[in-house]
Amino acid sequence: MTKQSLSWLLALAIIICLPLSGCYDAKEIDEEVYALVIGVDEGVQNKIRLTFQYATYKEGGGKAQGGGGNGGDEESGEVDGTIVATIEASSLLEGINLINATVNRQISLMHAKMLVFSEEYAREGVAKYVEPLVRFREVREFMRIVVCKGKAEDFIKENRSFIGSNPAKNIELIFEQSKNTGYFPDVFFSDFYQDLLTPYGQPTAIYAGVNDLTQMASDVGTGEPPLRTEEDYEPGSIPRKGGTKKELSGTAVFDGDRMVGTLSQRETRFFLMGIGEFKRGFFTLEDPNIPGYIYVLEIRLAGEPKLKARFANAIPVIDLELSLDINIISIQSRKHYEKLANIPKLETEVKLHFEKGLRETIEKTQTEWNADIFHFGRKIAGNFGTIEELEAYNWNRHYQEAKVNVKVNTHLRRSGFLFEAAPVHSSTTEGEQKE
Amino acid sequence: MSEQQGILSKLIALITYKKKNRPKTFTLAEMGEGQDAGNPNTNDQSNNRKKNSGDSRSNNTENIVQDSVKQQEKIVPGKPRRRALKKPFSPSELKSTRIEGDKVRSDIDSNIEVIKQVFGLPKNKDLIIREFQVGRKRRAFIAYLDGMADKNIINMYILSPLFKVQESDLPEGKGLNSSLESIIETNDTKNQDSIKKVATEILKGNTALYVHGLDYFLTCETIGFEKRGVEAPKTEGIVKGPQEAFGENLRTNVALLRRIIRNSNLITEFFEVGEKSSTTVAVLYLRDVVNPAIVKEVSRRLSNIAIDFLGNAGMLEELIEDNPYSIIPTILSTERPDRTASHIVEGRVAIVVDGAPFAMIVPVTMNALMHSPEDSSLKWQYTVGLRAIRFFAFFAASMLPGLYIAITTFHREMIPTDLLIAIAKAKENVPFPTIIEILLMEMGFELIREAGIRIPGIIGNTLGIIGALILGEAAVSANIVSPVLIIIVAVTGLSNFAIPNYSLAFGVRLARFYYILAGALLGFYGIVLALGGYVLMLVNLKSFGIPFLAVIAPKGRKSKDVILRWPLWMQEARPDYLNPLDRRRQPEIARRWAQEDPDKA
Repeated sequence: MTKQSLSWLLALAIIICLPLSGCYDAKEIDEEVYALVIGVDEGVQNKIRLTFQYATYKEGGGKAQGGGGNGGDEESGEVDGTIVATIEASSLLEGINLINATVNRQISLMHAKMLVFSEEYAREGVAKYVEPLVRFREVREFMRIVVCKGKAEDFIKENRSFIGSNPAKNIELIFEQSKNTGYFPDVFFSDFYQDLLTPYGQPTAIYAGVNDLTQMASDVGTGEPPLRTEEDYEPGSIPRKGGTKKELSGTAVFDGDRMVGTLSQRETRFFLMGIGEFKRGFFTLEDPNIPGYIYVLEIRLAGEPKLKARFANAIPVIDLELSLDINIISIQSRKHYEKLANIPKLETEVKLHFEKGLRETIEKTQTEWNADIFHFGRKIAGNFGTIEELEAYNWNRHYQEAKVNVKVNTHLRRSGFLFEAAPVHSSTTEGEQKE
Repeated sequence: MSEQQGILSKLIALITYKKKNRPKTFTLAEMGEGQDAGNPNTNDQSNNRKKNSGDSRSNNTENIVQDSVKQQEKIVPGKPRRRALKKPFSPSELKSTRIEGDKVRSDIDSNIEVIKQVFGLPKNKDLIIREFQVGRKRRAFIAYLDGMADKNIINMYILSPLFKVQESDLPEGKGLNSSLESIIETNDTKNQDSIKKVATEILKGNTALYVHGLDYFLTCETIGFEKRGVEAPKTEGIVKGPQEAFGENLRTNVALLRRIIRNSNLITEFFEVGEKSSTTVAVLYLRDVVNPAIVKEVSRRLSNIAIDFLGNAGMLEELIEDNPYSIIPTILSTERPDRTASHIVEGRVAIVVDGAPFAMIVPVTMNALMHSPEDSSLKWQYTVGLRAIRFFAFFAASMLPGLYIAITTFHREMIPTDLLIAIAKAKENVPFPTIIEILLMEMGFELIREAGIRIPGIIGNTLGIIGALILGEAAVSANIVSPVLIIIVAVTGLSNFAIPNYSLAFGVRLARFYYILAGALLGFYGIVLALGGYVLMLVNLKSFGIPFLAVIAPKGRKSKDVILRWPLWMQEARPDYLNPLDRRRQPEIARRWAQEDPDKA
């Protein structure tokens, strides 16, 4: 056999080999359906009840809805261009196989964007149901973890959008609102799982619920409505009408894999500031000079919070230092708080307010749950020589003993388009007011 | 062959029961089969080698004699030994007769006869032989090819002076030559004492003059055939820059180059390639710049080509390139004199083939193929942007469909969910797998391209675009392909046109299918493997001894004009990999005026 024919034979052998191994994993896009949301409830006939929401491939995104009513087909589970299907199974991945028998196409978790646990279920512990998702290659790290009040199934059924017909976009964008408001944290699956395992701190999840849109009182009020700044709403209890029924607000706090409590919207903002993930948000504060009047500020976090941790007399001491940038949005009283001479006063007021809020939130996590969701343990770890020493110390148990010093620096940066607003003149105005 | 066909037709006849006695049809008799091998024109030009090799297709007279002898031997069976006994000529004998036949005779009749024989008169109607008398006494004739020679020159500057000559002006013997040369008024005359050379001159379009009694011909330059003028480039059009392209005439092409490089060191060497066509091939280089080894190699390759016909530059390219099996061209062919000139000045060699409106430039590297002639006429910042687009185009044209199929069938997690669902929606009613979709669309696109070239004139372009639009639109609405794929194929097609080199674009078109296959079989892994193989092939390529990816691999001295183009005044050195005699293009400071004080000047 000549050298040339040998090389031809080799090439032929390789070419023949290619189709043998190739195409094995190949799958066309439309051969699969992509589960966008996975919900886990406690089962009745079997261990768990699973709910999947996956996009349909019909043009136009499902049925036309009638003015925010109870659209969708109850039987087929059709919700705004998606199908919500529920099944009971012994395990999560088996549930997928079971449901495949009815869906006609393979359900893929590659694009799962949200994993919803019912609160009830989360309080029992989620680790054993999270583990297979970590091990399974299709699930990706950016799936968000949500704990919802009530049943996950009901929550997912209300996961719809009246704005656009693109379900994936709706789900992605709702988590973006965490950056705009700070009312709920944006918790990734990978972070959640990591926090379950670390000795540094405790995991959190997004807290959500379904609002039946009946929270708003009847239009007939009696007298002057009260001024309630920084109201704390449970998910599902915000007084509103219209729009979708799902609500994300607040933080679910875990101790290990068990949910132990929740942070309200207001506390969540302080929590996000503490971990440096607060982007921006509007805060309404009562004007200390004129009761009943408010001023509205936009607060941004200026840089990462500075964290120091040390031991003093075997008590862990943590120094948390934050810088906040303040933009004035509104001053109802039209007082000139933005004047150079008045700025320090305003800054101090805001500083005290935020220091108080932050301190209270930290205290709440210490006294009520002893759950270090701020991950102070990451800095505390620096005081130990080896990881074994840290694990032996068990920071998560000692978190409640820690003394946390909070310092907030505030800087007034912008005053908006108005500067030293002139007073409103009317027929009853009494001359020029001098300060 | 014919026997096989016989068996085959018999077999078919058995099945079809067709009539066996068909009317006799024309079949081309193969050599050694028929009785008359034909008697083509005698031609003294065919050279020695063929004769000795006994190639039966040679139309040399002696050879045919030899062949017919062989045939006779073959026809007579059972007497193989006679072949050796009846061998008519020994090689040396052949040689001697040839030389004898090549000499110019000293009488006019036999010379006319020889010329007639050489050109196959009277069958051949192209050669004109005009007999006349010089000084009313001496017989003479001119011979030229109709259409190749300029008749005005012949009439006014050859015939007319000769007719006016008095007998007393024509001395006998050697004196005749100088007086003839002074009588003929054409710009160039040569004495030829070989029939073969005379024939070559006539074939070029010159006129051969013979006066009775001489033992040589006088050839006068009368070349004047129809040719296309200098036109705008067809495939390398640019906006800013010269708008002239090479034509089919070699002399004009060389002149175009000389006009740009006005340098006495610009050397033009001529080679003749093609035994039947005798095509002139010019090699141009700058004597004081180019590395002599490259010139030596070029002339070695050109003078060692044994082929019967050389019709165009592409054929020569195939004959002289280093890697005939590579799908990427290793020779740059351009129709622009300015581009050719710039390469010659850089230290490369240009090869111009007579009859081809393209110059071939050797040796070249990959980046030269990716440059456009416009690059040097634009500001360097713009060029950098254009090059980026071009490299993207190269990438997209070769890999986009392959990547698409890899992503959609193996790596669906990489697609943003919105897009994924959109693709799935669009694909919902398409019955084919993605690979079939892609192949269908690519096939359609290639079809449009190929048909667009043939569709005549003005409607060609329109039909191409409309065809693509309609085909795409119809294919989508008929659910044959998904709309995303139309975009992919369209971007790929566009990118392919953005590749500045015509041959390279073809190579990329082929490579595209290679990547589609790799992506369809093994996803990204397959693409990576395929890319590895492709890069191996690229680094393995050589263009006249220079690694094709020079400057990048092997790494050479940094150049300011590879992927980025730095300002012209920074490009101080000629390409390192060419090892030119003169490395420096310009001094360190090219913009000398910037160093001067404007007031003192």
